[in-house]
Formats: sequence, structure tokens, C-alpha cells
Amino acid sequence: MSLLFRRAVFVLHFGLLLGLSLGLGSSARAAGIGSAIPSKSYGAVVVNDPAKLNSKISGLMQALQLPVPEVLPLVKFQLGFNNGFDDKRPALMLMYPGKKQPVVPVFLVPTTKYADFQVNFAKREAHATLKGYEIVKTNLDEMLLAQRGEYAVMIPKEFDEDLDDFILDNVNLGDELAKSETWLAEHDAAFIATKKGIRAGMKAFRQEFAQAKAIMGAQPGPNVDGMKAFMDGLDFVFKSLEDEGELALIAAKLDAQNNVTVDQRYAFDPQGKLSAFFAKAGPAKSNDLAKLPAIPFIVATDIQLAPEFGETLLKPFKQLLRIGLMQQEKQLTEEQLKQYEEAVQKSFEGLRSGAFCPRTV
Amino acid sequence: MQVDNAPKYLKRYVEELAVLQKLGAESGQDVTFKEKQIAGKDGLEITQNGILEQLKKQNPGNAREMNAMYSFLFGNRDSLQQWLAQADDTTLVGGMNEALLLDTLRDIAAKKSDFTKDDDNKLTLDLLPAERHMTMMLDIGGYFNLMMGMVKVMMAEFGGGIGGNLPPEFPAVPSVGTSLKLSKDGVEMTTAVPFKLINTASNYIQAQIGNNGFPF
Repeated sequence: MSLLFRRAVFVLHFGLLLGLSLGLGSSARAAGIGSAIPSKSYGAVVVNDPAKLNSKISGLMQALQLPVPEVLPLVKFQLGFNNGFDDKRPALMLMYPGKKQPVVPVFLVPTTKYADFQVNFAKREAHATLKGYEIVKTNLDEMLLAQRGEYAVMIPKEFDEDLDDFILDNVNLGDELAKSETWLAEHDAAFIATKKGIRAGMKAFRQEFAQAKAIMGAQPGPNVDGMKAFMDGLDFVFKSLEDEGELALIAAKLDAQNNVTVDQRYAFDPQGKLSAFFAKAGPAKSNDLAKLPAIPFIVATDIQLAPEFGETLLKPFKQLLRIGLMQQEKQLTEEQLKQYEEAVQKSFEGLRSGAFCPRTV
Repeated sequence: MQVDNAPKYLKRYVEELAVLQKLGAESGQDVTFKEKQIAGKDGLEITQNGILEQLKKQNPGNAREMNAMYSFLFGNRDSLQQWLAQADDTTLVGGMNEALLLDTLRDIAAKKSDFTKDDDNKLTLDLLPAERHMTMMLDIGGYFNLMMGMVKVMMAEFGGGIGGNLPPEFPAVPSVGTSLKLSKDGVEMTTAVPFKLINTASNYIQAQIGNNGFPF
């Protein structure tokens, strides 16, 4: 097996371990998860309770009548975590900035007792040290092993310098995540993107987007200007996210009835344009869709936004409309295009909800 | 559609349609509309002529496919007709089939239907936060069946030579629901998938695979 392949399989297995947390979360266990994540991380995948998840997945598979073996024992065997692994506490995979490559994976494994966890690997022949860290061999990859609080830290062997940094890194996300700790604890697994992660991710994405825009702009066609204007509008949104994104959380839970819910939270610079924009949405309401008939439908939507907010949202729609109109045989003047857009905008005023119903005879 | 005030909305819509009709004519579109009573309710009939020809011109390489898809969606005609009628003070019903529109108007008048009280819709809505700015319900089963209907038409057009036998109709299932809440603190979004949908999809896929075990 190549190193890359083994690395990928290791990440996959750890991911499965993390994914196991898609069961009932333990609010007490996940509290204070921010203190385990250094602020300079790009992001983290968090699991609350792998053992409970295993039980939930088994329950789900039984309910679906799918003969799937229990996942947790299999994952523990592959990773060599039979002793000392506390499968009732949160496990994390961090995306940490590295020296040899931009992002390195750091695995935080909850332990009942670190010495017991070490035993998993001490029996192996390749037991050795590098810069004082133990080199351990899982069934899939060689890793460096260290202790940080109640966690065992595991990192691929070649990133020894990054492990030095990580062990000494004491600035964490505790404050940034304080408002969301309870919310995170209500879920079973979560992905957290930090301010640094959001900004780096959006920057990289915008570079790709700029290339796509340049390629599209070079294509001849009647609607190039309209499409370019539309893409400029999109890039304005992406730039705002890059400048003002503070925290992104995606968390999932599987409830006692096996319903799946995925929740997302995005926070922005409180002094920025995006926060001011979203504040205009007005108070959220309930009991929407109530007057729609209960007939078969494909999509049913309900939108209850303050008028000035809806007006802003209509802008990209108007841009698409303009692109469509520019494809017509006879071109409208700029003044006529504006009149057309205004008429369309007015036709949306007072519209609250809708359903598309493929009703048949 | 739910609107704040249906008569006012309809009146303004007529005004805007007049503007759109005039501008549409100048860009080469042939759109007409007339106000009419539909099942005793105020309403509109909107007709867009030459739409198939227009689509063919815009997609010259796919004229045959466009024709099949258009026939499936709108029937064998070159004009696209739509109706919009006021069902009550805050409800408007639009459609491309006048007979079905009348059925829907009757259902609403009889007050026999409430979207949020339907058992399957309720399963999904109950999983979403109570307070939200936007809600979207997507019926995966209905969408799948709609697409299969379109594929059937395409297969007929091409002599049944593509895709082999089509899967049977997907049973009625609860929708996937998504909600959005916005505030100065940011954006909160929830997506809910009821177990009944997961279970039905699992059974459906297993039946299609032709065995009773795990497919992988």
C-alpha cells in the first residue's frame, strides 16, 4: 500500500469514528469543545459520543432491515484503539496549519488513561521515538503520539515540527465557540470552520472563480456582458464572506425516531455589511405554509422577509432575467430593460409563499 | 401562492403584465393576457405564442428533444397558456391546465386541505425550528416521478432505445424540509429528513437491486 493510500484509509477510518457520533449527542460531553481547538486551526470535525453513535447506527440499520455489522469494533481494530480509548467522550480531527504543507491533520483521541492507550502501540516491533515523541504504527499508518490533557494527540510522522507547535499552542476557540457550545452539544457530529479557515477557503475559491470568469469572458456570445455582470455580483457575495465570515458550523443529529437533522450556523463580523444586511430580515414567524392546499407538490416554499430585504434578494434574479432578455432576437434598450426589471420586481411585492404542484387528472 | 392581499396583488399584476407585454412585443415575444372569471373568481388568462419555435431557435441542435420535453410539459401546442385565479382573500392559484386549476380552487373553497396538517408534511415540518423566515419543502419522490415521466416521453421519442425498463413509481413519502432564519447574529439553516423517507428509499432501492441484503 502506498503511503498516500494508507493515509487516506486512516483518515477514512478516523472519519468513520467521527461519523459514528451521528447518534445521540451527550450535551455534557461536548461542553467546552472550543477549548480543545487551537484558534489558528482552519477547522475541526467533532464527535460527541462514538459508543452511543454505534448503538444508534445499529438501531437505524435494524430499522432499515440492513444486515450491517457494528462499525465501532471494526474501526477500533483498524486503528488499534482497543485499550484506553474513551469511546464516550468527544473525538476530534483538526485541520491545523503546517510547515511542510498548508494543512495537516491532527487527531485528538479521548483516553480513559493515557498510559493504557500507549499500551496499544508499545507492543509493536516498530516502537521508537522521534524528537521525544513515540512513533506508533496503526494498522494503516505510522504516526507520532503525544499527550495533551485528556487527549492522545496523533499526527502523521513527517509532521513532527507541527506537533511541536500544536503541543505548545495554548490559544483556543473557547471564546468564539462559547455561544454555540450548548447548540453543538445537542448534536452528534459537527464540522467547525474557523475565521481563519473560512477566509482561506473563500480566498482559494475566489481564485478558482476568477479563472472561470476569465474563461467565460473570453467566449464570444450575445450575453457575455450580462453573464459577466452576474458573476461579478456573485463574487461580491463571496468577497463579503471572505472579509466578514467569522464562524461556520454544520452539525448533524439522529433522533430517537431515526429522523436526521442537519443544522448550520454562520456568523459574521458584527460590524460588517453582512450582519447589517441580515438584521434587516425582520422577526422570524411561524405557521407558514398553512394556507397552501395539501395536494401533491414538488416544491413548496414560504418566504417572510421585510420588503427591503426581499428587494436585495431580487437583484440576482433580475440579472438572470436581463441575461434571458438579451438572448431574444430583438434587443431592448437599457431603459426598456430597466422598465422590464421594475415590472417584474413589482409583481413580486406582497407575495409570501408558493407551492409547485404537479397535479394530474 | 399566498399573498398579503389577493385582489390588490391581482390588480397590480395586471398593470405590470401590461408593461411586460408591451416590452415583450418589442423584444420579439408574443404574449397576450385577458382578465376573466374562473369558477366565478377573478382571474387572468395569459398566452405566450410561438414559444416552441423560440425554444427550437435557441437550441437548434436539440430541436427533437426540445419538442418531446415541451410536449410532456405543456401538451402538443405552440402556445403556452397559464391561468391565475383568486381563490380567497390571500390565496392565488396558477396553473397550465384550466381543469386542474378548477379542481384546486374547489379544494381550497371546501377548506378540505391544509398543507401543514397533512400527515407526511407534518412529519417534516415538526423537525424544523418553529420560527423561520423561509421554508422549503422538496418532495424527492414526486420529483423522481416527474423526471421518470419525462424520461418515458424521451424514450418514446427515441423508440424506447435508451435506458431499458424504467423503475416503478416512487411511493408517496414525506418531503425533505429546509428552513432559514436570519438575524444580526447570522444565518441559521436546518435540513430535515424524516425516517419514513429514509426507510421508503431504502426499501425502494433494495427492491430495485433485486436482493434483500445490503447493496455494497
